[in-house]
Amino acid sequence: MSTPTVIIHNAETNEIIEREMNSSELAQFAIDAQREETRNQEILAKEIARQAVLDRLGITIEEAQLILGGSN
Amino acid sequence: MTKARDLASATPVPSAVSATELGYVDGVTSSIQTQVDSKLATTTASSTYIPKTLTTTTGDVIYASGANTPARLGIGSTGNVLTVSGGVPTWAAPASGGGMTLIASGSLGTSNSVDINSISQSYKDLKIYIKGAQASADFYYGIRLNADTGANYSFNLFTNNSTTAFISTYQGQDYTYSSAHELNGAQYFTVYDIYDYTNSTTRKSYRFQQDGLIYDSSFKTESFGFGQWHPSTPAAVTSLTIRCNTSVNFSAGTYEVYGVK
Repeated sequence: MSTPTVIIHNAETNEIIEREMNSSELAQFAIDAQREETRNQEILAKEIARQAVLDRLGITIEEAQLILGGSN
Repeated sequence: MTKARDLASATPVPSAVSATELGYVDGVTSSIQTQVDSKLATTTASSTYIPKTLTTTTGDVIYASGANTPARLGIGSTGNVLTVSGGVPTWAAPASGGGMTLIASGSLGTSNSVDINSISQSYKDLKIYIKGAQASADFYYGIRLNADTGANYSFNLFTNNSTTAFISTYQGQDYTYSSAHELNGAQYFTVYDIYDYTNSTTRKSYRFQQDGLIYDSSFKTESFGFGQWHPSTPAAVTSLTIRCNTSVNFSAGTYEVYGVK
């Protein structure tokens, strides 16, 4: 993946520029990427745990939602 | 002939004065000039009539600045309306009727984020439209305020698919985000409302609505979220960042930022 870019829009002057992220922005970008990875792993872990409960109960997600009152 | 009527009846009639003219003075009991002067005396006229010299300029309006006190009000500026201040009429600009003013707009381009800075502090709320945001792979996006990357965004997200509603709580996030969009998301739309954004003493409440595809693209969804930006030191919002997750960049879409009175 090439260096990501950022658009800078000055709302006062309406000047808009697009440039590659500088070093500090790339550093933050790396931090953001790590956070997202952690977040995705947490989501996946929750999904696995939820499916494990459903498997133990022998019901589907739709049946669980019916029990819990989920509706459309 | 001792009276005017005797002159009027004289025969022959005096050639320089007609009988009709002489009849006008019939019954006069004191000096005509004295009577006229009395009627036109300045003190009498000023207490009875408004002098025309009070109006000096086109558009002047006469009003009473007090009981029995005529005063001049010069014309206001174009578009002004007559209103009342301090118990007297005055011209003033009409009160604002509210509404939205476009502060900034543009394309998301192929960037990973869009920083919109130098946001005017002249409005009450901010409203952000994001239209047709797309990326080269499944993605999600959201906003940061004042480039704050701390864990200062807490929000609740109501999401649904075709059969079920979900409620998710996110505490201490590093930005506010919602569900992902599909690759071909030109028809999708997101709106954020940030309230009282110029207030520098309280946290910032916001809400947002988004439609698209949920994270794993398994089904379409509509999301409604509300939350707070709660940095340790509250601040007015002077900039905001629209950013998508780091694994992709935007490939299409536009943004519009409005100030709301």
